[in-house]
Formats: sequence, structure tokens, C-alpha cells
Amino acid sequence: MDKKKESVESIKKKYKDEWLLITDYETDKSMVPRNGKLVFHSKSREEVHKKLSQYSGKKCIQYSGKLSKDIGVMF
Amino acid sequence: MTTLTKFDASANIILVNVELTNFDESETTLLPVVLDTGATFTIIPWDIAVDLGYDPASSERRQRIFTGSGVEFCPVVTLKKMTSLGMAVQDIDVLCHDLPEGSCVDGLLGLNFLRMFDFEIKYSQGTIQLIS
Repeated sequence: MDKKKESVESIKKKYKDEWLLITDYETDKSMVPRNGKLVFHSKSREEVHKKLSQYSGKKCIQYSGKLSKDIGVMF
Repeated sequence: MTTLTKFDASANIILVNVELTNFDESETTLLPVVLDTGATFTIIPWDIAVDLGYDPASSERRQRIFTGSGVEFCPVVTLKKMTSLGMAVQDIDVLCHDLPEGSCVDGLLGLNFLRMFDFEIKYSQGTIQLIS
């Protein structure tokens, strides 16, 4: 069954602190994803990456959590 | 052309999105990355490059990079197109390298993209302006 598009904001609220795979996405001018079809979600980023090959066209990966304030980042 | 992108100025990273395109522009992948003005190159995950039809394993180009934890050699692939902050760049080199899972992002947007524009980061307003 074909999934309906949802707003990315509402998807993130449903699946907090998870990696999301969203297809058929649409963005605003700044490339912020606004809506799409959630096809997979997981706590593991690697699991989401593995699912990529099962879909074609427009694919979007997002994380619904935030980096904890007590974590510093240096790449 | 000028673009204005909002970001969360209260976060401890500047999170933006990049859209990567395959060779014939029939497939795109959008992913969250850190805007890093201290990074020479843009970095994307190995799996995403492969999914878009690029082949980092057979890339003859390897780039030596100095990271916070040492020196690494990363394969370089040339993307057909990459779009971020409202601006698109054709035929841009990126490094294929996986950032730590706990970093909450999938890559880095580095200077090899940003230097193609004038850019201004305003923390007081939470905006990034790119001017081409």
C-alpha cells in the first residue's frame, strides 16, 4: 500500500531520538526537508544506511534527536 | 544570487542539510551534516556514496586528512551535483568517510563547498547567508 506523505516535523515527534529514512521528500529553498514518506526508522544509523538500496528516487536521512548539550564535537 | 538559511543557534553544532545527486541526476539523497568552517573538505558516508552509484573503493584518489585523533587516508569521489544552503555546485569532490554514530550527523559541509561563495554566519539571528 502506498504511504501518504507526512510533515517531517510530525515524523520526528513520533520517533524521537531515531534515524529516519524518508522517501519522496520535498524541501524548502534552504534544503530543509518539509514532508515525505517514512519508510524506515531505527536507533542505528547503520541500519538506516543498509535500507537505502531498497528504495529509489528521492531519499532523505534525518535524525530526530539533538546532540546532548554536554557533548562537545571536534571532527 | 543570495540565500538565507536559518539554523539553531542554541545547538552546539551548526546543522544543515546537503542533497547529493547521482550521475544522471535520477536519484538524490538528502542528509544532515555539520557546517564546519575548519574542515578543508566535505565528507559523506561511504554507504551513501555507493548507493548513489559512486565507487569509493576503486577511487584512485586518496586524500590525507588530519583529524582530531590522527591522520587518515580517505577516498575522493566527484559528485555530479551537491546542493546545500540553497546553492548547487556541479562536479564537486567529496571524501568518503563515516563519522562516529553518536555524532547525530552523517557528514561535514567543508570549505571546498563554502569557498565558492561569500558567506556570513550570524549567531545573533541564527542565519547563514550565502552570496554567489
